[in-house]
Amino acid sequence: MDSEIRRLRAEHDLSQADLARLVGVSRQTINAIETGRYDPSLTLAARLARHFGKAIEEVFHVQDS
Amino acid sequence: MSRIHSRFAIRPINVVVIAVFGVSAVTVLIGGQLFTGLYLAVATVYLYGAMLYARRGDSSEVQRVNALEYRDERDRMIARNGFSVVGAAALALAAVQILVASVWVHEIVLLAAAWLLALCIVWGVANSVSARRG
Repeated sequence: MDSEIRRLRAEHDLSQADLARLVGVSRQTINAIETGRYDPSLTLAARLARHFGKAIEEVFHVQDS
Repeated sequence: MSRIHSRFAIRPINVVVIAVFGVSAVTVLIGGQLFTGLYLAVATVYLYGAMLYARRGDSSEVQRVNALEYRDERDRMIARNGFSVVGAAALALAAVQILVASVWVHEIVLLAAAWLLALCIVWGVANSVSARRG
């Protein structure tokens, strides 16, 4: 699953550690999401999207298989 | 739960682990086994240190998972995957143990078979619970 997390984080001038602290996860989890190694739960995806004032589908892109 | 957590700065399950190791060390030392007692005491201190280190902000996910100090959903997912592998390995090893024991040590065949049966039951229950929780 692709995401806009890295771009949005850069636009908001946040480090991975900053964003991690704001949404209550580890820095490694933010890194794993940004690099596509981890698909967040719906709860975390909603929390991240809400943090940037976006809808989930604007932040996360699910490819049709 | 949170009272225990704040007092010891580690998760309740780790408080239990440290307590078991600590009590074992003291018991063994009182029993006169100096080397084993000191070994357990050092292990207790090392484990407690590892748990405290895992709670630091700069710890890696592997350090946290190894220390049972999960910080978020991804840590828990990693731990689940790890334990599932442990479970699968335990099943395979139990099967090997039965084969080996059947050939060389007949006395423990029943024990090994019981172990395999118990692991299969645990596996079935765990799968069922996991599926129900989604």
